Amino acid sequence: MKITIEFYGKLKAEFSEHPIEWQSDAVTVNDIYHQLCKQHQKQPNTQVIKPIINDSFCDWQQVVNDGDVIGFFPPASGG
Amino acid sequence: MFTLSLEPLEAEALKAKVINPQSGGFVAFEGWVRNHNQKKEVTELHYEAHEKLAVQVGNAIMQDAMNKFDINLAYCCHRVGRLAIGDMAIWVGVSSDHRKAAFAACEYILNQTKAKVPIWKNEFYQNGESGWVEANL
Repeated sequence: MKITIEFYGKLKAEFSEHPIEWQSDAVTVNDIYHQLCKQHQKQPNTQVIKPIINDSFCDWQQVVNDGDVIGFFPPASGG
Repeated sequence: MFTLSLEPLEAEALKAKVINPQSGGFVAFEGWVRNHNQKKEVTELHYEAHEKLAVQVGNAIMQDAMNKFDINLAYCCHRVGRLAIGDMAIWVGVSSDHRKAAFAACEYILNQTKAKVPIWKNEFYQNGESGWVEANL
């Protein structure tokens, strides 16, 4: 399964500035996030990070399909 | 209504969106880019947003404010892109029959926007470094 992963805000500095293509057999958004954290040696923080899928909010247990675009939001810091 | 803008915010044009003859009061908040943060000299800010979800979440906040407070009109606009010191980053304006509701709604919209709307601030410093800013609620 091939998906695209996008990072926002400070997660760009921690994971990738640009969207990445990701080959994975992960089932859920949560699986993908934990694989990413392991690869980048980051502590997962699902209490703070919010996932999106195809430009809509989703929950961590959302099942991922081939071609999906997954995004991860850190806490907002506008204003 | 909640909007994002790549262009400089014009307070008078935004004010015109909430003025109405029913209202006896108008409260506005302008957030500006300041030249310092956490003892560092700031030279500019870059605001990044997820446009679709920022507008969606922002408009939900505006609707909440309309339901929660006795106000007539409310508008919030947030800049995105590169901002210089002194530029306006956010404008919130509320009109109401009486002042109390307008003050309360204005603060509510600002606080909710800072906490929930997917917008992120990257600060650039005098020493050439930069850093994504943590939420300042």
